[in-house]
Amino acid sequence: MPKQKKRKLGRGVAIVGGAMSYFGMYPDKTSRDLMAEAYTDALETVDKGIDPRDIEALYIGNFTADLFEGQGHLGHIMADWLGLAPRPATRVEGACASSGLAFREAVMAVASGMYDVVLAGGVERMTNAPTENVQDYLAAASDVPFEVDQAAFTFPGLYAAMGTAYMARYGTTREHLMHVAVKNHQNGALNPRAQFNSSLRDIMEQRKKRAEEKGRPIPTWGDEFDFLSDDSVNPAVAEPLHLFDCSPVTDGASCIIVAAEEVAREYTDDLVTVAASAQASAGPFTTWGGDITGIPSARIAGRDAYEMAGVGPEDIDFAEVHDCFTTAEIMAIEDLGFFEPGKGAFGSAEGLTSRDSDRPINVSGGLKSKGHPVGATGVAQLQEVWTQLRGRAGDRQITHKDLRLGLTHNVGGTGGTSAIHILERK
Amino acid sequence: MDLTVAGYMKELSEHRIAASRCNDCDALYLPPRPICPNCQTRKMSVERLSGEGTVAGLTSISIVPSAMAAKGYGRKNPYVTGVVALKEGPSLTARIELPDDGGEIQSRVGMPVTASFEAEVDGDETRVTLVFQPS
Repeated sequence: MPKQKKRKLGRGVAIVGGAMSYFGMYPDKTSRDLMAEAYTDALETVDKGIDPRDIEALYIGNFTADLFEGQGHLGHIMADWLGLAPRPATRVEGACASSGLAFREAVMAVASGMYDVVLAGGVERMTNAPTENVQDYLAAASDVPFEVDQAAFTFPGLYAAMGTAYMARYGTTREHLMHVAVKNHQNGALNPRAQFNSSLRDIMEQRKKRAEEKGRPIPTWGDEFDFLSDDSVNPAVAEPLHLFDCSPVTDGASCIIVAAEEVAREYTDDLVTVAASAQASAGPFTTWGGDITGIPSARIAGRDAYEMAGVGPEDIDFAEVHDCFTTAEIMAIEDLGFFEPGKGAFGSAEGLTSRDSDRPINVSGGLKSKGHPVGATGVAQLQEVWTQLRGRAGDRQITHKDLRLGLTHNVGGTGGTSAIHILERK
Repeated sequence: MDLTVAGYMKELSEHRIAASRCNDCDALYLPPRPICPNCQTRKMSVERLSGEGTVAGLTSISIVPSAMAAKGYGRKNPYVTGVVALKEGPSLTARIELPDDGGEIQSRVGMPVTASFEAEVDGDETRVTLVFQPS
């Protein structure tokens, strides 16, 4: 463990605007089209309005437009398309944590005093690639010579292997994982920009209705768990993970505008500031000392974030965590200290992470239901937490408790990169 | 051997699993690496490992990458891969061959396994991968 240095921002940084595009399948939209949607919507969210020329620099999270659409060098494309060239634009890559890192770079650029107003964005266009290619491209985020060339791992496979280690150690089953999917789909049903804007109950009823309309035998599923246990509608992807344990392949973009706290009141009187920004790296599984039931870099980034904010896990009112797979959410809520190791699966099944619980997890629907355009996810999580903290999340607004501190947990690969932020309402 | 990815693969092609041991802190690394993360030293010795260990985590993959699809794997013919903790301490990721007895995948965690070396000829190149079998 490296020696701990107490870290802090050089000056306060606030979020003054933010939006995500509609997440889903948009065959006619390239990365720049998606980014323009998120950006123009983000400008609209600035309470007192903003002159786009106030934006001094851009940090754009993107995993691999290179592979998905043959487009590298994405920073300048976005600066130009958003009308912001010649302002400096930097693409930031950390697999599925790309825009968590982009946000962090934007925050540090403002905190350093270099700029007062900076844009942090994220984007990924994924659905135009065939499924096998998507597996290949995502697998580029792992340790390729060893995990892919030697072991033929896919990304779901890596999180599935962690899942089996967890299940074997703590005696949990696939049903525990199903609770995460059911909860996040219920949340996503309240999010109009989510890719799956419906609960699993609704999806199940639609399938029954469709069977009836086509004169086929009507399936006898009694509830969501029956539905998820039926391999004909929920086939294996990488055991124990089935289709509905996996976040979807998604097109989408996200955008946040940050400003130095000392100028932020020019844009809004409803301030949300960055209480902590932490990031950690790790090697692949084989460097984790034999334990793959949690993600070491997330634990370290979480610890650093709590220390920077001067709070503990018990102080966090709600969180958006990186549920790329159901197994990932269970590990996340343990790595962040919300549950003891081995208790996250049981807590999820007991409803302790639901939207009406003491600490709601993924009220946006999470990656699972909202969608996971990998490079856009980190900033989309931050945008959700910012929106909830300001009480402007519409039907999905958390209303049963006061919100002061929200956390985002954004993981690249299987924890090669973790970025954790804590936002605070002033 | 060279402490590079290619050096490790060459060892595999000669049916050896090479690791590196730090001469200062005695930590053992697989794959072999040139710099010790524990004490930053670059004094490493090469050691060969037994290939015996236990399954730390695993999965059966049905939605397969293109390279495995080309070999005939897929929804109807999934393959198993995982993380194996070797008895010397380090772990590695490799394919695993399971008995076809319908056991749940997580019930295989802890199963003792032994490495075999599988050669695959692709034009002029032969690539050797590790595949673990139940001991």
